[in-house]
Amino acid sequence: MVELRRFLVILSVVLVLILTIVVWFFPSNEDFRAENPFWNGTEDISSSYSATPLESLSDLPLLPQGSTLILVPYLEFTPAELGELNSFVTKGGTLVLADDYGYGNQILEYLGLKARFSGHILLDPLFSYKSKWLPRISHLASSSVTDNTDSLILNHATCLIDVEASDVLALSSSFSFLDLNGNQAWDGGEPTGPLPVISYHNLGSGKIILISDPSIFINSMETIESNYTLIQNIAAITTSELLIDQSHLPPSNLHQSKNLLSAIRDSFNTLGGAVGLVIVALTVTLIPIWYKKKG
Amino acid sequence: MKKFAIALSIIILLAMLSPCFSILAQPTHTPHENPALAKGSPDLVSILLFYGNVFDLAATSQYQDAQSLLNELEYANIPDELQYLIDRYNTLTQQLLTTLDNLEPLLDEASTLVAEYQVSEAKQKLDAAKVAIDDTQLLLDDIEAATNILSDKLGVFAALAGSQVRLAYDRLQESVHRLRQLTDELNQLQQSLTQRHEIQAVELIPTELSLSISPASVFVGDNIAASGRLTGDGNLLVNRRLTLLLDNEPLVITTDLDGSYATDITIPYKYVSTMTLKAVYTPSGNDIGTYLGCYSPPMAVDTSFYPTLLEVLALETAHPGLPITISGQVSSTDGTIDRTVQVLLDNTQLAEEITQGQFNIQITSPPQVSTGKHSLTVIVTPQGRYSGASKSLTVNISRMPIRVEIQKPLLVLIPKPIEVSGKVYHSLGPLRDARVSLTFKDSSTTVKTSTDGSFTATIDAPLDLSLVGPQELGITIEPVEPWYTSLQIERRIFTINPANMGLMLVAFVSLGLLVFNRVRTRLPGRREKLVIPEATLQELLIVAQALRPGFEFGGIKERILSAYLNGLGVVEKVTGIPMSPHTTLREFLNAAAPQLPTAIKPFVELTLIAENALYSAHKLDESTAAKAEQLVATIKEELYGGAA
Repeated sequence: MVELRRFLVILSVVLVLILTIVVWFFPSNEDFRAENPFWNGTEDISSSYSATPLESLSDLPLLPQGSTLILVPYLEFTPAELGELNSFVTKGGTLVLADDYGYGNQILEYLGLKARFSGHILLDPLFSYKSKWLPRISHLASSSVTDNTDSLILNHATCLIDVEASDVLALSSSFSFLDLNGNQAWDGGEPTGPLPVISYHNLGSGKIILISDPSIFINSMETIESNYTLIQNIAAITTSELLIDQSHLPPSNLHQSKNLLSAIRDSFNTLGGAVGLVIVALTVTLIPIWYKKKG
Repeated sequence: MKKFAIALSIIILLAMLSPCFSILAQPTHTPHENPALAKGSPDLVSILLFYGNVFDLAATSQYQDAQSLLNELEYANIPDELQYLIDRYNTLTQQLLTTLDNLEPLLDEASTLVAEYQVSEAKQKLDAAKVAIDDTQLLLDDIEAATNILSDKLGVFAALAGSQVRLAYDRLQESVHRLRQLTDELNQLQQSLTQRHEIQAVELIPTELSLSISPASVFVGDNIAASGRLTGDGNLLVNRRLTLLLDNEPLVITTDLDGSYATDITIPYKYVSTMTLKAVYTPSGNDIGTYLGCYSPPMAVDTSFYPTLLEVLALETAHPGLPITISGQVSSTDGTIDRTVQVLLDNTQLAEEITQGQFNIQITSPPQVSTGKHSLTVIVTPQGRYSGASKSLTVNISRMPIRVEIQKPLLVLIPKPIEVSGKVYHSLGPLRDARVSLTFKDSSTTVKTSTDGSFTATIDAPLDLSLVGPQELGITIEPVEPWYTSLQIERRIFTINPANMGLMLVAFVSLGLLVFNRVRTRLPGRREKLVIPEATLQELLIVAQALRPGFEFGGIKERILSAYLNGLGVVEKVTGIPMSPHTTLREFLNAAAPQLPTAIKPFVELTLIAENALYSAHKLDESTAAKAEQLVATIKEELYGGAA
C-alpha cells in the first residue's frame, strides 16, 4: 500500500512537470502573436524588422522619437495605459493603430482625435482577393506610408469614419459597402464606397496612422500584393525602435497558462518570492526530520 | 486514497487534452481568415453593375471619370475563364470613351467657329467630328454584341426574370441604350452644324485679314507695333472690332476708316524665346449674315531676356535649431543688379535677402523638424528682363551624437545605494542642464548636469532573488539643445546579495543534512550485518512490547490474541527481531520466518488465526481459541525444547 502511494505521488509530480513543459514550449498559434509562426501570427514581421514584442505599455521607451508602436487593441485600456500611449505619441513616437472590432476608439477618444473605427464589416463583392471578405484597396494617396504601394488586401476589415479628406491615405473601391446588418449583402441605407481605410494624423510631435484592419500584419497577409511594401514603409519611417504590442491581443487559455508560468517565475525574482521559496524548501526538507524526531 | 485517485485521473485527462488548449484558446469571433484557404466567390452581378456604372458616367459626358472607373477593373476579382472576354470588353469600352472624349470638344469648337462664321476652321473640325462619330457607331455595335456574349457567359439568359443577375443585365442594357442615344444626339449636332456651315459658305461674303509686326525680335517688357488691314470681297471694312491674340491673351482693337489697324503691344514678362500673335475678325452687328469671319496668318515674335544663373553651396548636413550658412552666386549675362533670394525648407520660407552677385545667407532649421532628408530650395525671383532661377538641394537633418563618461562602482553589496557620476559632452563643449535618468532594477532617479557637464546621482539597489553577478544600470541622457541627440546606454555592475546567499546556504545545508540522514538509515547491507548485543536486544524488546498498544476484546477473540502475543514474544526473543508499531502481522511473519526453521509452521498458523480474529467477519469458536493456545505451546516447545 505504501509503495503504491509513493508511486502515485511520483507519477503526479511527473505529470505536472510534463504539463508545465508542454505549456511552456508549445508553439503559439494565437492571433497576432509575435512568436506565432503560423498563418495568423506576426512572427515574420517581428523577425524581418527586428520588431520588439511589448508585453506591457509601461515598457514603452522614455524617448520615443523615431520609435514606432504597432498596436492591435483587442483588450480594454486602463487610464494609465492610455496616458502612456498619449505620452508616447506627443513626445514624438509614431503609433500605428490597427483595429477592426477592438478598442481602438477608446484610444482615439482619449487622444482627442475625431476619427473612429466603424466596427462594421467592410465587404467588396468586386474588388477583392478571392472573396468579398478580402477587399482590395487600390485608391492610395501619395505619402511616405503608401510609397510604391499599388494595392493592398485587407481581411475581414472595417472602415474609418469621421476622417478629414486630407488625412485619408487609402480608400476602398466604390463597390465596397459596410454590412451594417450582417446579411453579407448590400441593403438600402448601408454606406457604400469609397470608404477610408488608412489615415494619417499628427499629434504633438508624433504621428498616428490608423489602419482599419490589423490582419494586414499577419504572416499569411503580409506577402500578398503590396501589403509587404506598406509594412516596409512603416519600418522605414522608424529610425529607432519598432515595437509590437502583445498586451492587448485576444486572450487564450494557452497564453494565460504561459503568463501564469512567467508570473510564477518572476515572483521568485522578488524579495517576498525568494523568501517564500526558501521557506517552502526548508519546510519540505525538514518535515520528515521533525516527524522522525517526534515519532 | 479514493480522492487521490480522482485527482490523478483529472491530471491525466488534462495531460491528454493539453494539445487542444491552443485550439480552445482562439477568440470566439475570428477577425480574419487564412487567405490561402479562402474560397473564390466572384460576384458576377457586380461585374454587370460595374459596366452599367461606367456607361452611365459616359452617357452623362463624364468620360474621364468613366475611364478612371474602368481602369480600376484591373483590381477586380475576375474568374480566369472570363479574363480574356473582360479584357476585350474593356479595350472596346476604352476606345469608345476616348473617341467620345475627343468628339465633344471637336463639336464644341466647330459650334463656336460656325457661330463666329469662321467657315474654313469650322470645316476642319466638323470633318474630324464626322470621323469620330462613325467610329463611335461602330464601337457601340461591337459593345452591344460583346455585352450579349458576356452576359451569356455569366448565365444571364438562363437566369429567372427578376433575379439579381437579370436586373443587373437590364440595367447595363439601359446604360448602353442611353449611350447610343447620346451618340445619336452628337451625330445630329454634327449634321446640323455641317448644314449651317454649308449655308454660310455659299451665302456670306468672305473676308481677309492681314498682320505685320515690328520689330520681330524684342526684350520682354518692350513694345512691338502690330498693324494690318481687313477687307471683305475687295472692300475695306472700317470701324470693325478685331481681336489680337498674343499667346491666346486677347487685346481688342478697331479698324480705322481705311480698314487698317495699328497698335502697340507690350510683351509680357514671360521668359520664353517665342510668342505667337494673330488677329481675328468675328462678324458682329450688321455684319452678321453678311460677312464670314477670318483669321490673320500667325506671326512669331522672338522674345529676349537675361537668363539668371544661380550657384549654391551648402553643407549636406544640418542640425535642428543650429544655424547654417548657404552661400552662392547670382549672375546673368548683363552685369549685376540687386536680386531677391529666398531660402525654403520643404516649402517653408526660412530667409529672404536682397543681394548682388555673391551671397551668404544664414538659416536655422526649426527645433522640432524631423530628422532625415529634406528639400532645401534657393529661389531668385524674376526681375524685369532678368529671369528667375531656383536650385534645390537635399539636406540631411540630423541630431549630433553626444558622449558620456561614467564612473560607477565595480562591486556593490545589495541593498547598499549605488553612487554614479559622470560627464556629458560633445566636441563643441560640455552639455549643461542635460537630464540624466538612471534606472537600476525597479529603482530610478533623475539629475541634471552642471555647467561643466558633470553629474552625480545616487540610486537605490533593491533586494531581489539574485545572489551574485552583473546587473544592468540604464542611463538616459536628454540634452536641452535640440541639435543634440538623446542617448541611452547600459552599464553592468557586479552585485553581491548577502541576505539571499545566507538563505540559500541555510536551505542547502538543511537539504544536505536530510539526504545524509536518509542515506544513513536506509543502507540494507549494514542493517543485515548489524550485531546487536543480547542485553541491548532485550532492552529493545522490552521497549517494543511496552509501546505495543493494548486491546480491549472479550471472549474468544481475546484468548486468540493473547495466545498470539504470547507466541510473538517467544519468536521476538529467539529471533531478535522486534515487531515495530507500523509492521503488520504478515510483514513480521515474513521477516521472522528465515530464522524459525523449526517453529515456522505453527507460527504461520498462529498468525493466520490472529489475522482472522482481527480482520475477518467470520465467527470464531472455542476450538479455534484452543488451537491457538496449542500452537503457542508447540512454538515454545520447538524453540525452547520444552523448557518453557
